[in-house]
Amino acid sequence: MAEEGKRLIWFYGRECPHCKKLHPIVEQWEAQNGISLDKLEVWHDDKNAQLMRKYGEVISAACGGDLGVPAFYNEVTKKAICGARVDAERLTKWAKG
Amino acid sequence: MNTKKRFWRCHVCNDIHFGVKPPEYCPTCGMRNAFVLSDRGEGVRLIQELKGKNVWHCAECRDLHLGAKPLSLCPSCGSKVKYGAMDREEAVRSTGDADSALDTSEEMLKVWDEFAERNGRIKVWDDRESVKQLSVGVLENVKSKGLRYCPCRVTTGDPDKDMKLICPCNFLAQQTWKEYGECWCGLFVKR
Ligand code: SF4
Ligand SMILES: [Zn+2]
Ligand SMILES: [Zn+2]
Repeated sequence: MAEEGKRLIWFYGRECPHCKKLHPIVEQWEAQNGISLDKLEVWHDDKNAQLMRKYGEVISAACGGDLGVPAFYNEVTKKAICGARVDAERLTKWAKG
Repeated sequence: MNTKKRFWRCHVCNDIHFGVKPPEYCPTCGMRNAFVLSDRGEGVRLIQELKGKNVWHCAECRDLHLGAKPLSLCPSCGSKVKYGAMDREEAVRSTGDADSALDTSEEMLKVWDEFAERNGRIKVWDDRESVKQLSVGVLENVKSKGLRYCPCRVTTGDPDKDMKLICPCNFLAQQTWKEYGECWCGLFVKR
């Protein structure tokens, strides 16, 4: 786990189907790139939801208006990607850009 | 045919109708076939808390409607007498306590299927496993946060804003709907 302020965070929801489908893709991507994301569940953990709200402006812009999951937030670049169509290629750009 | 009065909610603007049948056109947003079966918990909460709307009732059959404008045709009894204004708390009391809660996945799936069927322009995602998962999420949110919030978005903490996250939401306005013909979570898709 990276230190606070330098994390690559994946906000997900336990009952979000797009998140569930992304899990194996993310895991494979992590293994291939030697990167490990901080995976934070937001519906059953208020602290995680709070953190997501803290980054709310950037995340909701990336999600097309709302605080949606799956959402990925890069604490270093302060950039976010969001939604069902996130794939390995976009993850790499987000993590490294 | 079911003759019991139940709570219905407009997925676009959150109007509530308490009656045997919901109006074909929502008097507030004008959308056709936009009402989805709701339940007492949600209906009463919106009647009590939704801002900027009033409760109106049918003098003939006592149907209730929470909206920005009164109905001029009652969907339940066919009366053409314009609905009259009514106090919110009195309205809640007049609904009695008969309505049972929609609190199982099976019921949610049925409600969504019927809503899509009646609507005619949308259908429920054919991935039943994911749909089931969404129903579990929605029901968990009722238990922990009090309303049927979308499992793929996070509440803001502002109760007024969060009312827009009650499922089914106004997905017609979402970018994913315009671009891919699906709601944010994929629950509803264009036919
Ligand atoms: S995005 Fe889909 S699942 Fe989420 S509240 Fe709207 S209709 Fe329901
Ligand atoms: Zn409406
Ligand atoms: Zn009537």
